[in-house]
Amino acid sequence: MARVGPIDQREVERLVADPARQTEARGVLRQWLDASPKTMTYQQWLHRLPPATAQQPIAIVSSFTTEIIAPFLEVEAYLSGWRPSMRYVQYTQWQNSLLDPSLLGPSRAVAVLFHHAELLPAGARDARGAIARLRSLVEAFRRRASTPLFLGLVEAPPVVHAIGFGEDSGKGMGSLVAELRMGTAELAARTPDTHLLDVHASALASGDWYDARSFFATRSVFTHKALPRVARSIARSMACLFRPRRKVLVLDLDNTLWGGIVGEDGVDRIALGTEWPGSAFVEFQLRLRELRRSGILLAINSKNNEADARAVFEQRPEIVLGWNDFSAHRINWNDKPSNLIAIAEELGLGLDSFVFADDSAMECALVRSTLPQVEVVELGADPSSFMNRVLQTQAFDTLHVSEEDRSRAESYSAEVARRELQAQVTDLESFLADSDLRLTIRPAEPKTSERIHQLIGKTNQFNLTLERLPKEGIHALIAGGSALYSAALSDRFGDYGLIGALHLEATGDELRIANMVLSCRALGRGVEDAMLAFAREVAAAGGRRRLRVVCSRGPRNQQVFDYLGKVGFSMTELDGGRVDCRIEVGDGALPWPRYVHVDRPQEETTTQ
Amino acid sequence: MKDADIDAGLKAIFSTILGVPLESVDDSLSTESCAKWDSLNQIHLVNAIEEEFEITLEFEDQMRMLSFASASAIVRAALAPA
Repeated sequence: MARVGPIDQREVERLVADPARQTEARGVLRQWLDASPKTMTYQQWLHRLPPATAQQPIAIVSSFTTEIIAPFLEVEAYLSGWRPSMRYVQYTQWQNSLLDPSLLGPSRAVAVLFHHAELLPAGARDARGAIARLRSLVEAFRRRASTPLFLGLVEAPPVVHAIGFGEDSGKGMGSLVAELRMGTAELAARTPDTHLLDVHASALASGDWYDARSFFATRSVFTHKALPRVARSIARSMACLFRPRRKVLVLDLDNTLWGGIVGEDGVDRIALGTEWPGSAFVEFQLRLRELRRSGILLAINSKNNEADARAVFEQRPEIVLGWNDFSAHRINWNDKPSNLIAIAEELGLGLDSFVFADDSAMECALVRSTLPQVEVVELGADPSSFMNRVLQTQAFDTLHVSEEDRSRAESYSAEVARRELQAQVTDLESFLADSDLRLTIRPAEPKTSERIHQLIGKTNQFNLTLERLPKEGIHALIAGGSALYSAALSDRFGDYGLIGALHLEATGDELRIANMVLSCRALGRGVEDAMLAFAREVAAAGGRRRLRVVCSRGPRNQQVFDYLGKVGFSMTELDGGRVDCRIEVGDGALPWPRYVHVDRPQEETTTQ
Repeated sequence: MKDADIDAGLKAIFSTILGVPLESVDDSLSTESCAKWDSLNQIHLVNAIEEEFEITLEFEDQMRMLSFASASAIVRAALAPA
């Protein structure tokens, strides 16, 4: 195996070993394995993976033998951007281990793979008993553990419509398995942190996926042909827990959003409509609109005259995406890496949350080599494959789309309006005065815990301690009545949603800020002042003399230290990049900002 | 396929799956002499042999493939012209 298509093995090895080019390494190794999805290929690359800096402990609970998936899962997890340490449960113990999760040891995720015959015995008349059994197992697990669960039903042995037994297509085992499938989906939908694994569909797509003799001899369900895809399905789903979703998709225009080159072919001649290839470009745009609704920002980076590009949006009725569906536009003759940097600055987001998609191999190569943190999708020449290519990066995979996600793209559109106003008014004070900013601080509740977890987990810039509280930790703080607060922001342009979290702890004559995080969307508007003023008020009401926070320096939170210094905190450097920050709360320290109306809990004398 | 080519292909498979140096793979290698040759790796070995040589091993052959020498004999027989 020296070469797959244009890829040279040594080139892949070099990329895989280079910590700075892991995004690209995963892309080329993906192509390599897709070209030769065999045991030997996986085993060879298994030995060439870079050392894991952090491993996620996961458990595989299964009603059949699954240990054989280990090398495939390890390589597929690397391709999905995380590294596992795996624990397997003997198939005879799969139900017990759900009833008693301590058998699984500490895990960050649990995959439950079960074949229908285990729950639906031959001769069963309906699936209700099987669904009830599964529900009792999942609910028992959920009562004792908050670890995310992934349920994968495998239809094994495969069901054939058994005419010989007098079953027609609407009856018999086939329909019971369909019922069990529906029941599993409903169970996953209404049990917290429980998700479906599409292992069966993945196995089917592998072709010859089941070997009856292996099943009865060694209790293994999947043939080696199916293992790569099954492993990929597990690795890809679990990756959503372990790596952040990227936030922005930056697109080219010509031969990407439409067929042809608008500057040469003219607005009327570019392909967009019901006929091939225009039909495929319309479909691509429809899918991009869905992606936007799930919280991904779209932006344009195109070498064109802006007037030509705008004319397409204004004059072609077949176009699906509107000009304002894009949160940033760079249509000019600058190089694309420079435009990407400008878009990142405009949106206030890091380039490591960007995906760039372009039909030109040259533009893709340029971005890859100059901005290795950007995930690059080379779209090629077939518009019917564009969306698959975008989704195959897994960059936009998510297990759950929150309300915040849904409104994100809209709130960025509101941001464009804000910037326009800001450009019109000459000073920041009058801009803020004109914005009608409203901050609502509330004790955290179960319904806001998911967003708080997201904020604490993802905020890198305005994050005081960089301590990433796990979901269970947040649940425990809420249940224990701790002083954990959420902050929501709105202004006259729109609603930002929950943008901050504040955790306070009283000790002696101090009120400690255990952590404070603020989304970068809310910075620079007086919101940080309002949050600290609130902390100061809580401290004063409880008779505390000072506010104190031990901050941690990270690669991107320098502004925290600049800000705390500016508002009067004294700072002492400790070891390990930690900084002890204190401020006395009397005499006009940390005043309320002038232009933020703050709605806050009034009785704040008790903190734990 | 020549016997020498079969053995070379098999040695690469055994070395990769069992994680042992290529030069240490010879007829003396067996489930008894190699601790890493457990029941799980037995399945990986069978799968890799089937894929690399594009053959299907009889279930009984899979069960009695307990040394490199027996693997070599089984693959040679499977590839022999009928």
